[in-house]
Amino acid sequence: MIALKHISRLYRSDEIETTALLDVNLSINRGEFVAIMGPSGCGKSTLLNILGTIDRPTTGAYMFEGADLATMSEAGLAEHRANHLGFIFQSFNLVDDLTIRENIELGLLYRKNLSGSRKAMVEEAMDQVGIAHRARHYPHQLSGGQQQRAAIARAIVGAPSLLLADEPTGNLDSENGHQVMEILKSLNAGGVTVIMVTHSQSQADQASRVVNILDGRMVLSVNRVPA
Amino acid sequence: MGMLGNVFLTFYRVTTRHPLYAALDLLGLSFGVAVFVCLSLYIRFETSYERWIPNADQIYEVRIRFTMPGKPAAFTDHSPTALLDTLNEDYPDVIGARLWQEDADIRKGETFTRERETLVDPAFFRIFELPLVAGDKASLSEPGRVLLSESMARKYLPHGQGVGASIRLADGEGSVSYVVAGILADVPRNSDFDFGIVRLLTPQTFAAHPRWDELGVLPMRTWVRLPDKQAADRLDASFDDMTDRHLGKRDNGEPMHTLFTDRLIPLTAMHLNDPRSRSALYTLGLVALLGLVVAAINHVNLATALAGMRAREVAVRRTLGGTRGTLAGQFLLEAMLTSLLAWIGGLSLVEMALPLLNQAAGLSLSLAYGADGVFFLSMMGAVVLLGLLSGLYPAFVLSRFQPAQVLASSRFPTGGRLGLWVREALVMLQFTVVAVFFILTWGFFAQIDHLKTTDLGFRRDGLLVTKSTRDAAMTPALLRQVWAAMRHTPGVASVGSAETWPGEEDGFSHAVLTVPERAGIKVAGLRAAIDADFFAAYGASLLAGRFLDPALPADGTPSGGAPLHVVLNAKMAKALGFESPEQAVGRALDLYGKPLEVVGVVGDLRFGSPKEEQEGVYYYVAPAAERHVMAVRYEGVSEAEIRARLALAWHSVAPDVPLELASAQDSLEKYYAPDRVRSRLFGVAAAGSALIGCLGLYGMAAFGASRRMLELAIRKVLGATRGTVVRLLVRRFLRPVLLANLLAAPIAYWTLSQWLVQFEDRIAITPLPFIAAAGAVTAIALMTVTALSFAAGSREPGRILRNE
Repeated sequence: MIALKHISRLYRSDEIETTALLDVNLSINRGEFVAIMGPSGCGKSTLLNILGTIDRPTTGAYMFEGADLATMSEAGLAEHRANHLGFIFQSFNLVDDLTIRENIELGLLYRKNLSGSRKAMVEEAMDQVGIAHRARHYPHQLSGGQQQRAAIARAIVGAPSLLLADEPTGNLDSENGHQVMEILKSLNAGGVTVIMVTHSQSQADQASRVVNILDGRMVLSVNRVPA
Repeated sequence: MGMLGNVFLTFYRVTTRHPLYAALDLLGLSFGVAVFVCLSLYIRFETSYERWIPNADQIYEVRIRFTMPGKPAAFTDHSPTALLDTLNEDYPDVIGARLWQEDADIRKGETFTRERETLVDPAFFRIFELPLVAGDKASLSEPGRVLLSESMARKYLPHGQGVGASIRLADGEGSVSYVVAGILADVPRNSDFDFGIVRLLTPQTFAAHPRWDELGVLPMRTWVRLPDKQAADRLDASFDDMTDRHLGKRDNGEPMHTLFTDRLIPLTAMHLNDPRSRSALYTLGLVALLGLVVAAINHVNLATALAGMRAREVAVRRTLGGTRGTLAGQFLLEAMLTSLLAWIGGLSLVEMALPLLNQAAGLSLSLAYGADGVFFLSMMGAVVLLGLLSGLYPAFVLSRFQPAQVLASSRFPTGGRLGLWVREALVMLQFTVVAVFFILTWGFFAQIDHLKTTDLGFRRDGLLVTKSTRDAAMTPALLRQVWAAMRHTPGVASVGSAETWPGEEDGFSHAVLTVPERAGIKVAGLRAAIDADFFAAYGASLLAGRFLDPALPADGTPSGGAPLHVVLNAKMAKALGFESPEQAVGRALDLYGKPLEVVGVVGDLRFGSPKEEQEGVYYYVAPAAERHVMAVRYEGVSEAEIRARLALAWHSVAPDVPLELASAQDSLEKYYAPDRVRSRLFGVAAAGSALIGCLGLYGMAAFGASRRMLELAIRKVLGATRGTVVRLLVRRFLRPVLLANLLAAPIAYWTLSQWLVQFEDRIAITPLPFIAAAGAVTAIALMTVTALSFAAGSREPGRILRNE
């Protein structure tokens, strides 16, 4: 499904050049649950952003189901995100001025062809994460766990083939964190490919593969059989 | 709900979640729209003169263009009686007609009142298709018929009577009873015409005015109707030939058209025929747009500042598949919605403000949405377009945010140093406009006040003038009785008479003088028929020699070829080449072969517009029949009291003639009124822009304070006092305002001096208005920012740091 070849990402500021990623090669198959691990500042999030096409690699090729995303236009990438990807963030990133239902609906807004009625799709996504009773509330009226479940609903409402999660439980207590992991696992069981950045070894243990990053290099990729 | 619905929803939510910024933005834009609409309505009003007349575009007036020696070409607004005959003879296809106006006295009960009556040729109604509300114009051609306007009919006809009623008019043809043939619709406010009483020019009219055939007498206004502009241009171009054909060559052998000829002036251009009026309107148009621009800048600044707060929304939308284009479109649409709301808000403000504005500026502007749809749509188009333009920069800033960076960070992006710089520059631009408006408003009013009080060469106070002595019933004998009665009225210091009075430019006749020893030099000027008391009544100042003396025959009617004694004004003495007034006294002059002798020189008596160059004038004592206007100087009594006494004295000798008295100040008012109206409108725009600028500044300061809350809290923890925090904030926002003052000074200076050039007698530009404007603008800005900074500086740091 995904093939990263010789991916590097450099950041240039006025005087210094920082290497966030160096020569990363990574293939991910449909249906995998990949956990990306590593210490702070190692390049995990950069890798996830490149996978999510909201950051571009400085060099290297990014093949997604046969299409080269590294050379695709901005508009093409936007369409790609709208049709194939779902994002979950550590800080939820819900839009403050929209209700939960409207936030989730936002996940469909930029898609050209919808399989069903927008309303039904939003209802279904809300049911899937158990947030339907909060549909008319605003993000700041919800607990952190509820907000993250709403954010997941927004990510999956368009039935993406790839779900990208950047420390999805980082801002949650263990009870809520556990709930979120269960949702991600069930989505993966339903056929969605999940790539998750995490600090937690116990969460990484629930993934089918763990990729370790250190100083911008991929140091280890371990296939596991989930417990 | 689709994409568009989502845009509306987000717009609504953002607006209600940041009510302060939304209100400042909307209020500023609404004020901008209000300023824009008010000034546009005025411009619309001024440019719509005479367009109420059907086929106004086809109607032209024929005016005489004359070129006096050493002067630029000038136009008369009247024409000779015979001009129409010449036109009919040379251009049989052209429809032409004359219009002549005189005073008519109408008796109502015991009192006479004076109205203006308009006499026209029958063909006039083929040119001016004046709308009738009753009766018909055809029957006007029967003898003894008259048309009245609706308000005239209401005023003079018994209740319920209209067509078929009779009315008695006393004018040059005597006292005659007329039958009302029709009722004309009242002339609207945007017209210089007076069609209150209209009847036909008859052989009796011409018989009553035998002098009309004399050369140089211009009683008529002559109108033609032409199918299109090409026909008008052709006719206009052939006028020089027509003049030469009929009048031959001048004395010096040049063709006559080099002295005078005819020209067409379009009816619709007549009201703004003076280029100064037109440029005043252009200026107001520019001011209207600037008011809108100042408001649009508010929107740019607030929207860009708010953009930082909306960075997360932008990043999320982009992550979810929104492109830069769709996001820019969203923000442009928001700008357009804001401007549409502002359009509605602005119109509401105009509805509320118009009665006040009309009262303050003496106007009669109104919002007529239905009747003026295209005008309103184009104004709305301008507003929305500007709204779109003001959305461009925020849209650019917002759509440029990189989602990966925004989503990873807990802080909001600021739009960078460039964004800050742009906002500061825009605030500077706003306050430059505000400061320029301030200075100009000050300058305009200072000049107008100056004109009202400046030395015009005569004393304006304690002076009443009347034209009632021009009444057709005034025989020379009756005139002398009236003068005597006035002179003996207690409180009257002196009574003078002349051909003209302050406020009437064309009252005196033109004349060309020569100095015999330098025969080649011809000086064009005015000849003024006066009586010997004229100078005393007006309080003229004698510069050299003496005034004219009624006891000396040579001052009035010299015998046997002796020179006529005259008094020159200073301008004429100078134009004739005398180096000082004293030098002119005793010198001989020549008026078309008639000898004159200068006995005195007076300071210029400025009867004309302050924008016209003062003409050279020579004064001579003329027979009573030539002096129609009486001036009364009074002392030691109130104006109301002297008016009552004069009315009584007048009634005792001339009971059949209505007396109308005007103060000299009032008759000059028409020269100052247009500039005052425009200056007031300008002042309104200045105040509006200042308000808008302050709203914007307040918004920016509020935003800045809220953004720097954490920084301020840390500073206070580290020991900063409220005072230092306030100073910190104020300095930031004062810089663009101070720069604006510096920038405004040269712009305002240049503009003001350009405007002042049109006045011969003008104020000197002093530093005072510049300093005052800078002080006022800075003070307003300072108050706005300080109030806010105190609030920000007073917050408890502990709370802020904990929340963060």
